[in-house]
Amino acid sequence: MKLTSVIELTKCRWREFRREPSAFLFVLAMPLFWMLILGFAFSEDAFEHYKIGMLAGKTELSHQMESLLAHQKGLELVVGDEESLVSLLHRNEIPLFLKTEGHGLSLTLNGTHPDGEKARRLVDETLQTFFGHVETIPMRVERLHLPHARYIDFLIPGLLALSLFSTSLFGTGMVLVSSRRENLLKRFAATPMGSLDYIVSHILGRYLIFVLEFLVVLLGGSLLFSFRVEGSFLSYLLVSIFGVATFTSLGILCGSRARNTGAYNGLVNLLLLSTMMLSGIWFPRHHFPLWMQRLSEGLPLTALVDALRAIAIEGAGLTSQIPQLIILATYTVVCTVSAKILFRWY
Amino acid sequence: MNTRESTFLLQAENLVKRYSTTLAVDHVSLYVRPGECVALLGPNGAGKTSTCEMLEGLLTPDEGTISICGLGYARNRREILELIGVQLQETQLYKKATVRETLQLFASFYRSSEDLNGLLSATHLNNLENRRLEALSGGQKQALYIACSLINRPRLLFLDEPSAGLDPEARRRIWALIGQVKQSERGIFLTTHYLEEAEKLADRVAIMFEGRLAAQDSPAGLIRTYCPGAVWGFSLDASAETLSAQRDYLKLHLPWLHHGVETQGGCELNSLEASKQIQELTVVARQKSIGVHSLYLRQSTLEDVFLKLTGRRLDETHQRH
Repeated sequence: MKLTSVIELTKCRWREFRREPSAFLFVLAMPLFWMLILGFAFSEDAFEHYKIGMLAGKTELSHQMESLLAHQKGLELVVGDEESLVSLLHRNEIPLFLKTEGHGLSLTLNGTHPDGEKARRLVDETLQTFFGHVETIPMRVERLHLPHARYIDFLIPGLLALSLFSTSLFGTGMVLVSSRRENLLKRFAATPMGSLDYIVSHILGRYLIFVLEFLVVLLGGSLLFSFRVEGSFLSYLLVSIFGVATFTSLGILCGSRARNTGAYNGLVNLLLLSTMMLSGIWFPRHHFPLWMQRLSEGLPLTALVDALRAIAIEGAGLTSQIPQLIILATYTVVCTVSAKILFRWY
Repeated sequence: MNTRESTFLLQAENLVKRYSTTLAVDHVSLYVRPGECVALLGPNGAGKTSTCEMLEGLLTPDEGTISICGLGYARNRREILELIGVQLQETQLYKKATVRETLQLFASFYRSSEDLNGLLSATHLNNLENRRLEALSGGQKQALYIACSLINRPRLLFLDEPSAGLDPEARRRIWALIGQVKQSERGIFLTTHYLEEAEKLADRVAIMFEGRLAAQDSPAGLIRTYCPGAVWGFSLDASAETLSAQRDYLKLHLPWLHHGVETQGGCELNSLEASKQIQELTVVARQKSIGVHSLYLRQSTLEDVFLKLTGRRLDETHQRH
């Protein structure tokens, strides 16, 4: 491998991307576009309004509480038995519920619900206004960490994965096909430049674009929708880097033989659309029939999305995502080896 | 450099290339000496590009041997690629890169490379060095492609249809450029379907037709061998109905007319005795009151050689494709 060749080739790849306004905008604007459209379309109404639960009780205190909270502006009270309240809490339909315990109260809070703290503060204020600051009612708080409720928090890791997937197929793979069609690969084959240099430059170029994609989705998400990664940021980044390796090798494999850009486009669109649906980028996979869920579990995009969501939403550690990483690594190896066998320069 | 000194920069023997059932290249042998420019001339589809790509190491011949500066592709591919420069047909380099960036890219592939500024001015690209490829004209692009092929100071330069698709003005500029890069030690191998290009640039022309080499010599040598003397022709002052009768009458009295080619209004001949034949034609025509409308005499060209060897005009064969 000749370092100067790799650097010059990588520079060329980067320039082709950076100096092509449509490619540049497509890669950067698409995730933001989806984020805005779907984020607002599926967001709860923007007013300060929280739905909370209250365990039905027969004591005087619980009746008192019920009427107090039911009339509080900004709160909507759901009264029910413990089982239904827990289920509402798990389905993220309420951030918290209250129940009476002797002369005090117990509050069960989903700490990862975005409205959790705000709803709790409103409940506190309501109680303090009623009882007065001095003799406020004793309250036990139980804090649970249930998955995020907001659709946007579910969507953003999916958009990142989708962006990494489509840029690899439409970027890396497509560039190979059009370079073959335009005889650029043949021209390179008539120089002493080694094939490894060329492929490495594509991988480096892909990672340069990755840095931008990653930052756009992360910053866009956090600035527009206060998205945050519950787990370790480093794990989130590492899993993304892993995903890029898988998708880049897939892109190189897809572009390893074709000369016809139109046919390639059709193939990749088909692959992209079907994978996108199966992997549950837009909607949770547990809505799918069981056979579809099983089918999608083997897909690299599913593995990446699941790992990113586990880290971002549930705060999972990297070790718990080893099965997903194994799927990604397997695809990387299989695609790289196949691409090596199938690849043709012209 | 551990290349064995050889009197030939390029030596190819009996190259054969088959595509399924068609024989694209049929036992072709070629050579290039230092300082020599060899043109492979033929219509589109004659097998020129296949031949050229075998010589450049891009296509493996089914039969035959290729030696470049005494080296073979099987064992010394990388070494050969350091020694040759290549310009391919219909190549599209990075559109967003500038002229200078493109040359830097190609320079990075070789062990040693030409001075960029010198190369830019030699190829008249010094005012365009910061222009992107997408903004270059066809002629400027072609000049850049030739510059790319010169970046490693090649000993042997391959140019595949260097002026195809260019307007006459741009074509003349490319010819001037190729004329400049001819050096005492450097060999040039070019393919072309333009007779004028072969005549202008080549020390030796190899005529290729339907996969085979029909002849190989200097332009003057080819003319001397196949079309010695001059070419002359006439057209008759006759209507469409009487033309063939008049032509038949002339052929009856002037047997040498059978060697000629019928043209739209008359005949064309290649002959060593043009002036004698013209006199005889005038006499016979006057006797029978056949009006000769026009008469011309010119030197034989490669076009005449091509016609003689293949039975077709080069431009006719293009219309077929």
